[in-house]
Amino acid sequence: MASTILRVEDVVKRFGGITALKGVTMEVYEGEILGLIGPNGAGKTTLFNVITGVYKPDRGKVYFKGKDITGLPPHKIARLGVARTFQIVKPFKGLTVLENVTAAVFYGPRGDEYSFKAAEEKAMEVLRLVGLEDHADTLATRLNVAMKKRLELARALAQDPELLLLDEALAGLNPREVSAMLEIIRKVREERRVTMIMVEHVMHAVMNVSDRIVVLHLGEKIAEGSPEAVARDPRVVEAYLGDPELALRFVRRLGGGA
Amino acid sequence: MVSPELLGATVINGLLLGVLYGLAALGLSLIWGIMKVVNLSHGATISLGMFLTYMLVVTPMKLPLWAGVVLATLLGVPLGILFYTAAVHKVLGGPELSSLLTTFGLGLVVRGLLEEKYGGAARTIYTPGEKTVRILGISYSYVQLAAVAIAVATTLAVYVLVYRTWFGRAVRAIIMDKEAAALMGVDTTRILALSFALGASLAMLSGSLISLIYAFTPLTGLTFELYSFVIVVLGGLGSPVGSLLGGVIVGLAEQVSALYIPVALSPMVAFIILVAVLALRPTGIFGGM
Amino acid sequence: MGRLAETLATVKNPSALAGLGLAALFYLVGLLAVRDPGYAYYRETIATALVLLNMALGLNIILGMTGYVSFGHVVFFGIGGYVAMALLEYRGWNIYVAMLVAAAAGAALALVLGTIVLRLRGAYFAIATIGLNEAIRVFFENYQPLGGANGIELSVSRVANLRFMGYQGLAAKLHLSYMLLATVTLVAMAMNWFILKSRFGLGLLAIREDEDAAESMGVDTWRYKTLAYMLSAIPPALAGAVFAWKNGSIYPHTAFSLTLSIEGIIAVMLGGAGTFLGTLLGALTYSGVKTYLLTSFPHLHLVLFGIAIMAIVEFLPEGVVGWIRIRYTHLRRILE
Ligand SMILES: Nc1ncnc2c1ncn2[C@@H]1O[C@H](COP(=O)(O)OP(=O)(O)OP(=O)(O)O)[C@@H](O)[C@H]1O
Ligand SMILES: [Mg+2]
Repeated sequence: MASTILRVEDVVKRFGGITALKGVTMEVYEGEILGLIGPNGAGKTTLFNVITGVYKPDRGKVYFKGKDITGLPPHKIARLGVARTFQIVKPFKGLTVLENVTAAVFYGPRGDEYSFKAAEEKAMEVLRLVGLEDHADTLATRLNVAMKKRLELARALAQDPELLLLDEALAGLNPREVSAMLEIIRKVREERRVTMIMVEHVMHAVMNVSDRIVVLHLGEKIAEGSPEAVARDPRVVEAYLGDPELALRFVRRLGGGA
Repeated sequence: MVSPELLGATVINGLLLGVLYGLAALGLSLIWGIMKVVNLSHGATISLGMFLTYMLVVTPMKLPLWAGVVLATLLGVPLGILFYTAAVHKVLGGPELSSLLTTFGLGLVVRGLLEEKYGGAARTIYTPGEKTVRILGISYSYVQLAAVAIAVATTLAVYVLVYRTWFGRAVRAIIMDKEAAALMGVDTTRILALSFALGASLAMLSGSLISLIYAFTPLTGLTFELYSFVIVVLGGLGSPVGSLLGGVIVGLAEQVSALYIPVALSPMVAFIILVAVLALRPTGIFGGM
Repeated sequence: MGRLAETLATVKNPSALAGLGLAALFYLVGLLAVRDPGYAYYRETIATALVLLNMALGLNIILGMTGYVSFGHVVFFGIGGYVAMALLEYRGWNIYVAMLVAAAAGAALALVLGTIVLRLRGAYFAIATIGLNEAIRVFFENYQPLGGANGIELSVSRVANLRFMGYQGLAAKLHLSYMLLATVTLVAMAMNWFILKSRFGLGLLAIREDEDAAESMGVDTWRYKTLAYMLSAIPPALAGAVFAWKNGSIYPHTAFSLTLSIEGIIAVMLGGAGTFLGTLLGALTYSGVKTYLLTSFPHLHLVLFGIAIMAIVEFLPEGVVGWIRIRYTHLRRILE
C-alpha cells in the first residue's frame, strides 16, 4: 500500500448547536483518487474547510505528509501543497483567465521562484490541460459555469499541489461537460500524479473515477472502501434514502451489478 | 467629585438625548438592514427635515409645531422615493462602494441646496412661552418631552410595522432572498422604494423634532449621521429596538463621560465605542432583536 | 530574467511612460514659475491637483488594488501634516527629515489602525475608518500641546534661512514646497506602478476579487492587507506634510476633512480602480472639473458635484480606463 499523504484524526467541528463533524478519522494514500460522498449537509465541505485551515476543528488533528497542520492558516496549508476548488466557484472575476491562473502559480509552494514570464508560460500550460487556452484573455466573469469550474481547477493545479480537494467539480454541468471534466481529471492524475479527494453528488462519475470511497452521513463516517463495496453497504443505501433521487440511482447501480 | 444629583440629572439628560439619537439612527438602520445600503445621504435628509420644519413653522409659513412635524415627516415619503430612484435603485446588489458613493453624492446635492438657501449660520425654532417641568433641578420643555415621547412611540410603531404586518413580511422576504421573494409575487422594486421612503421619512421626523429643541445648520444632520453609525453598529442592522437602546447607550456615554473628561472630547467616546464594537462584535450587541 | 528585473523593466510600458511624462510636466511648471511669476497660477492649480493625486494614489493601493474602502483615509493626510508641522515648528527640524518622519508615522498609524479594522469587510470597514478619523480629529481639536482647534502655524523665523534657486525665506518655501510636492507625487506614482506590476500586486488583486479564494490559494491575506494599508498611508502622509508646510499652517478640521478622502475615492473610481493610468487621469480630471465648478458656480458646486458622483457611479462604475480594459481585454497590457 502506498504511503499516507493525509491523515484526519477524530475531527470534531461544531457550529453553535450543530455538530457538522462528529469525530471523523480517515486516511488518503499517495496517488489515489478518494471519492468523498454523502447526502446534503453530511459535512463534506466542512471537512474540506477543516483540512485547508478555513475552520479550526474543535477536536482532532489533521496531518499532511506526517506533519501536524491542524489550525494553520489556509495560506500556509496551501503553500505546503494542498489546493482546493470551491463548491460555489470563486473566480477572480475582474481578472482575465490568464491572470487568475498566473496568480495561482505565484502562490504555489515554489511560486516565489517564478519570473512573470515563466509564471505565465506555466499558467498557459495548465490552461491547455483544462482546455481554456483560447480564453486566456477573457475576463473570468464572462465565462459560463462549466468554464468557471475549469478555471477553478486550473487555478488549483497551477499551485502545483500534491493534494487536490475538489468540491463538486461536476455540479451544474451537463452530461457532455461532465465527461469532459472527468477526462481532464484522469489526465491530471496520469500526467501529474496528484492525489485527489473528490466530493461529488454525480454518483456514476465518482464511482467510476475513484479508487476508494468514504461516505459521510450527518458528520460521521459510515462507510469506507472500494466503490463496489460501498455501493452495496446497506448503511450507505439507508443514508441516501433521505434523498430519494440518489437512493434510486444507488438501487439502479446495484441492480446493474456495479 | 461628581454629586449624586448631578449624576442623576446627567443620566436623565443622556436618556432623553439618547432617545432622539435612536430615532435619528432608525432610518439608517432600516435601510442598511433591508437593502444593505449604508445611506450616506441620511444626515443631509435629517438636515432637510430641520429646514423643512423651519419653513413650515417659522418662515415663510407659520403653521403650528405639530403640523410642521407631521408635514415634514409625510414629505419624506415622496422625497424618499425620489432619492431611491435617483441614487439607489441602479446600484442595488452591486459593490458596497457604489451605494456608499451614490448616496454620498445625493447627500451633497441636498446639503448644497440647503447651504445655497440658508448659508452656514445656525437657526433655531423659537417657541415662545414654553412650559417647562423641572426634573432633578433641570428644566425640560414640554416640546422636548413630547419629542422624546414621539420618538419612543415611533420606534415601537416601526417595530410593529416590520414584524407584524404584510409590509414587514414582504421586506423580510426580500432580505432573505430577493429572487425568491420576487417569484412569490412580491413587487420588490416597490417594496424597496417604500422602505427607502420609510427610512427617509424617519430621518425627516427626527430632524424635525430635533429642530424644535436645538439650533441647527445644514451640517447638523451630519453629526447625527456619524452617531447613527455608532448606534446602528451597537444595536444591530434593521433592529428598531436595537436602535433605541443603541441611542440611549450613546446618549448616556456622551453625557456621563462629559462629567469626567472635557466636553469637547465626548464625540471621541462615541467613535471609540463604534470601532470597539465593530472590532469585537460586528453583529452588534443587540443584533437579531 | 528575474521577477524584480522584469518588474523594473515595465517602466517602458506606455502607461508608465505617461506617468513619467506627467511628472516631468509638473516639475517643468515649477521651474517655469521660478523664472517667471506669471506661471504661479498654473503652479498653484497643479499643486491643488497633486494633493488630491497623492490621496488617490494612496487609495488606489488599498481601495483600488485590495478592495478595502478606506473612507477615512484622510486620517493619514492629517497625521502626516501634524507630525511634520510639530517637528518643524516646535523642534525646528528641516522639512526633509520632517517629511520622512511623517511618512513613517503614517505607515505606523496604518499598522496600528489596520490591526483593528482590517478584520472587517465591506461597509463595516468603511464605517470603521470614518469612525477612527473622526475620533482622531476630535482628539487633535482638543489636544492643546498641538494647538487644539487653533492648529499649528509656522513662524516666519522657521524658514528665514531657507534658500532655494535664488529665493530666500517664504518665497523659497513657496517654490521648494511645490517641487517637493511634485517629488512626493513621483514617489507615489512609482510605488503604485511597481506594486501593480509585482507578485505582491497580483496577490492584492486576488484579495480584492475574492479574499477567501486568495487565502486558500496561498496568499497571506492578513500580512498583505496590512502591508497594503501601510503603503497606502504613505502618499497622503507625505502630501499632508508638504502641503501643511507650504500653507504654513494646519488645523484639525481641514487636515482631517472627510471630503478629501471621498474626493480621492471618486478620483480613483472615475479613472478606474486598481489601474495606474486611471488614477492619474481620474485625479487630474476631477481636480480640473472641481476648479472649474468652484469658480463658475461658487454656490451650487456641491449640488453639481453630487450629481456628477451619482452619474459616474451609476453609468460608468468601472471608470474610464476600467471600462476600456473590460471591453478590450487586449488593451490591458497597455492601459494599466
Ligand atoms: N459556517 C457555518 N455555520 C453554521 N453552520 C454551518 C456552516 N458550515 C456548514 N454548516 C452546517 O454544517 C453541516 C454540514 O455542512 P456542509 O456544508 O459541510 O455539508 P456538505 O456535506 O458539504 O453538504 P452539500 O452536499 O449540501 O454541499 C450543515 O448542517 C450545515 O448547515
Ligand atoms: Mg458541500
